[in-house]
Amino acid sequence: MKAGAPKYMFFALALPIAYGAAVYVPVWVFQLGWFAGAPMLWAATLSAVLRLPLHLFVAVGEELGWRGVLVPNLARIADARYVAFVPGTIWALWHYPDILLFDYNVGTPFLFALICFSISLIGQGAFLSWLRLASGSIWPAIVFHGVHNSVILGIFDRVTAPGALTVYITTEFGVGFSIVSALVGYLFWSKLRSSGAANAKPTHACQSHLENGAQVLKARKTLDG
Amino acid sequence: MPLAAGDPERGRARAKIAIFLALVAAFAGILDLLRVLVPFGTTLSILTWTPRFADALAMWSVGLAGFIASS
Repeated sequence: MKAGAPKYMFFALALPIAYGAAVYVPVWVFQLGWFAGAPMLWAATLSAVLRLPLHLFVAVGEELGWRGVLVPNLARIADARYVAFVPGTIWALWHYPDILLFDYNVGTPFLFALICFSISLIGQGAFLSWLRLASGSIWPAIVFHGVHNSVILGIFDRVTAPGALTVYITTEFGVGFSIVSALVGYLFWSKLRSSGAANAKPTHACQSHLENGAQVLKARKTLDG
Repeated sequence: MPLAAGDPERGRARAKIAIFLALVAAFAGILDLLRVLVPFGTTLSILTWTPRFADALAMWSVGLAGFIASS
C-alpha cells in the first residue's frame, strides 16, 4: 500500500484544520460561541495528538471500504460526477441510523442535522474521491479522516464554549460545516473533471491494497493447490 | 473515460460494488440490532460494550465488507 505523494498527505493534514478554522474562527469573532482560551487550546491539542493514533486506526476500517473499494470500482464504470458525489451520499446514508436512533446528533432538530450532515459528507466525499484517485493510495484518505475527527471533535469543539446558536453553525451537524464542505466538494469535483483522475485506468492509479492482497492470496492458493 | 460497455472488468467492478454495498448494509443492520438489544456496559469476555466500541466496530465493518467484496 503506497503512501501517495507528500503533497496529497499535506492536503489530508491541512484541509481539516483549514475548514475547521473557517467555521469556528468567525463563530468566535462574532460571539456566536466563545473561544475558551489558550490554555484550553494547548490542552485540547495535546489530547488530540495523543488520540490521533486511535482516530487513525478506526479511520482505516472505514476508508478501506469507501475509498479502498467503492471509489476505484466506481471510477471504472461511471463518470466524474458519480465518482465525486455517490460515495459521499452513501457514506451519509450509512450514518443516518446513528443520527436518528443512537444519539449521534448534538441537540439540533433531526431534519436540520440530517441535511447539514449529508451536505458535509457529500462535499468531503468529493474531496476524498479526488484524493484517492489522484494520489493512487488510500493513505491520504485515512490521514484526512483521522485528522478530521481528531481536530474537529478533539480541538475545535472542545475550545468552543457554546452559546444558544453555536451548535447550529459548528460541529459536523451545523450549517457552517455544510457550507464549507459544499465549497470544498464543488472545488474538488471540478478538479476531478478537469484532471481526469476519475477517468484514470484503475489498474495503475486505483488498485486498492485490498484487491492486491486478494490477488496475492489467490495466487498463493493456486500455488499451494 | 470509464471502461467500455462490453469490457468484462466493468462487470467485475459492478459486482464488487454490489457485494460491498450489500455487506455494508447487512453489517450495519446487525450492529444496529446489537446496539438495541445489548445494553451498553455489558462485559463481553474482556471487552465492555460501549458506544465508542460499537462505533469502532461499525467503522471496521465497512473495511471488512470491502475486503470480502474484493476477495
